[in-house]
Amino acid sequence: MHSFKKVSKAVLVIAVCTAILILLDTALYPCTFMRNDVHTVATQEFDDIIVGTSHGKMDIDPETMEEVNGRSGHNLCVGGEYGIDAYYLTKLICEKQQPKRIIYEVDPGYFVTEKEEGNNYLLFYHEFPLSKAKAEYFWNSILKCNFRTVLFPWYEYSLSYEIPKIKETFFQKVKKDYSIDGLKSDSQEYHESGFIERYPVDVRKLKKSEPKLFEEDKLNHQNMEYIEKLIAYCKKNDIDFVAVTAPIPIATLKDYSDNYNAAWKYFGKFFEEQGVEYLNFNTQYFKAFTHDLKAYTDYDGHMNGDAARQYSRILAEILDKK
Amino acid sequence: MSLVSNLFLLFVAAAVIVYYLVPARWQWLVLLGFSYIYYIAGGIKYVGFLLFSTLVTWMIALLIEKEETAGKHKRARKFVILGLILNFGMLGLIKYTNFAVENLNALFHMNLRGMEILLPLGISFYTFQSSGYILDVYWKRCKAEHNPLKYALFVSFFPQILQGPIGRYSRLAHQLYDSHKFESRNITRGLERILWGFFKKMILADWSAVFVDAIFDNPDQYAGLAIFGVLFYTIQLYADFSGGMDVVIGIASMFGIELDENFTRPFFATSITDFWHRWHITLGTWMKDYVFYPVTLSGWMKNFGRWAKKVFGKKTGRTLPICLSNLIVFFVVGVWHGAAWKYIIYGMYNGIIIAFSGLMAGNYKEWKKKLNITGKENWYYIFMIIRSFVLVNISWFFDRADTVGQAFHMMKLAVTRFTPSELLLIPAGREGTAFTPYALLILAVGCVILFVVSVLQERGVRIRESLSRCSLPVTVAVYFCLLLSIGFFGSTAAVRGFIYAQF
Repeated sequence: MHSFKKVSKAVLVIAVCTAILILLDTALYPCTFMRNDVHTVATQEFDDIIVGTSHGKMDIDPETMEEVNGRSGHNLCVGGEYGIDAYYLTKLICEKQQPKRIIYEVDPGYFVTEKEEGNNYLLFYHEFPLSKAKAEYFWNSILKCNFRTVLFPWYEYSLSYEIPKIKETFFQKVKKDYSIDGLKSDSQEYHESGFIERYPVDVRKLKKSEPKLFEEDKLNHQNMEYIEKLIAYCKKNDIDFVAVTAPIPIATLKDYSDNYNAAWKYFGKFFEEQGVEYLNFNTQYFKAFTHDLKAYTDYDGHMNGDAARQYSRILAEILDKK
Repeated sequence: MSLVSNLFLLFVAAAVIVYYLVPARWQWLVLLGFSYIYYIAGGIKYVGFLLFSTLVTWMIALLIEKEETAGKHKRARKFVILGLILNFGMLGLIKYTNFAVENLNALFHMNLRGMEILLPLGISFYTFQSSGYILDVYWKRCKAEHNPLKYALFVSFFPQILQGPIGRYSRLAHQLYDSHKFESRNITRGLERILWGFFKKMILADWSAVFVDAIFDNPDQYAGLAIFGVLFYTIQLYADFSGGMDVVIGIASMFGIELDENFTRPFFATSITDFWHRWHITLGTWMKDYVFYPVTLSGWMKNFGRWAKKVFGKKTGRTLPICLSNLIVFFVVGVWHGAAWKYIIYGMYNGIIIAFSGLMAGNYKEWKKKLNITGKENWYYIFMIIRSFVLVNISWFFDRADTVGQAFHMMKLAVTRFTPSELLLIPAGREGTAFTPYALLILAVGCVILFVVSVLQERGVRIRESLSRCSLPVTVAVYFCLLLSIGFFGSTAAVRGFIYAQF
């Protein structure tokens, strides 16, 4: 009897604490565009899924591509998306639907840097619905992160809360509201297709920044391993896989020509060995789209909305011919 | 496997569950199994060194005991020397070869190539623990362990292997081998201690680290902040190391095992000697028992004492051997901290202060008498604490700076430049300088909490006992708030490992 009371008390304490943690998570973890992206791909069917980094997010508009080739698509790219994230996103999608093609946007810089623990995984993991992919992703990523990722996934936002937003976030989640009104800022706008449209900027005011430079001896093998896994997974599930590298402003290409040339050579060979298509708009499709800075919003190569649509049209046409 | 990772916490939970589920006589085997899993998870390549040290020490201890029982003291002594050479030889080879090569190259303009040797996890800790065991068996402070697996557990017990505390066989071994019944009190007390450790690590140590790294990595950019750099380093080092110890001790207590304390409020120390009685206590007592006393009582030191008495008189002659022993002890402390001159200077700095204090003890007494200071005055007590704090902080310059040169440069900046406003220019967390004022405020409040807790403990208040007497909702609320504070106020900068886990 005595130990039953003790156990009951312990269970009650754990239940109350868990409830508080869930409430805090609901109120404090912001509604990111990844929440919308994951919800969309988990509830709707698409022909094409685009995975990759911020270049993919801002350069590829699935709606424009659909106008050209009639294939529906969703853009799941985001800054900080590494091979592991793309792999588990694809696995999650395949639990919910059967896409026909995965378009993987390749940014060489992501292959020479380590993914930081914490928020970089939570951005995806937090939005995954309960699934086998979520469990696997937890095992291979969140498990090695610090315990705050499980108890307080909102911890990295803790210093930047705006009180009115807490109420808004809470009710948005409770009401399962996936409207995109809040995902717009002075410089960019999120679209339901997952594409982020960047507004044009005065390129004369842009400052050069050093991109993450590719060097073969600094290669992050874990990232390569996950790309190989992703390709193998697509082959096994009869999903087409196409790798794409978006165009980069000519000034940046010239400044770091050695690093970029090494990257193009490496990835050209890698995808050839993997037996998959690789479209590089800085080598064989160099002339297909402008490298003039006017089409971009920074030296890194994130396009403005109009240029992104033009580029998406060209990409769709090339993909159609393949 | 980081102590703050989800994986580690799940690992601990699994270990605790299995430990209490298996029959009592197998409990120690569960600990051994989990300890080796933990160590292997850190890198299978390191296990060979641990196994070597374990097997060699276990065998040599048995041989020592056998020879001692047979009355062959000289042979036993030879085995002691062999055991120490093998243990410290391995440590020296791995940790100090490249340091020796660098210095030989610099001194003799040679071009010797360094070796690419991996530093096995926790090697400094388990080497000291093993060597202490050899000497304890030789001095008959404990009996040699006949079961190699049991001895392996003593060396590899997973909560402590990476950053201590350095355990003594006589106090730790029987706790590891004895069976323990499940007691919810052990679990709750362990969890409380772990929570307090995480609070220190993730709020105080990790936020301080942001400022420390910025200032020490860019001394000229933040020239007016050198003094803050070292003060923040004090917070970082203490919160990191003592926080890590809280986690380690908390985990051990969940198995019913009481590890030695490594800290007793070191910044209330009234002298450097007192500081070393309160800071990294298990290293200090190890040094006292296995270096200081053997050196002080050795034949050559006695001869030196006799010579010193003849030359300098009775009083000084009696003190000089102790001073010399202290210098040797702190030279070893410095070397233990790392293969770099800055660590040796760090150790010698402490040794010199302690030696000087010993030599001047008589003079201090006279001065106090002349100034009518009894030593019981509050102001004098506070003065002594502040003086010790300043002296300790000076030593941290050597500990934290990359080189001896940088340490002196930072010291110079600390006394010549002072622009606190530059603190706001240091980016804190992922959002840059916008969060810097918040980070500083969090640090200030965190330090106040730590200070209040320390004052209460120093006055003998047993905080956890007092809390446990409160009603359950109150106790839970207090600890849950502590847990939540880690979520709300923990550092949002890149996650850092524990400093002493690199030794």
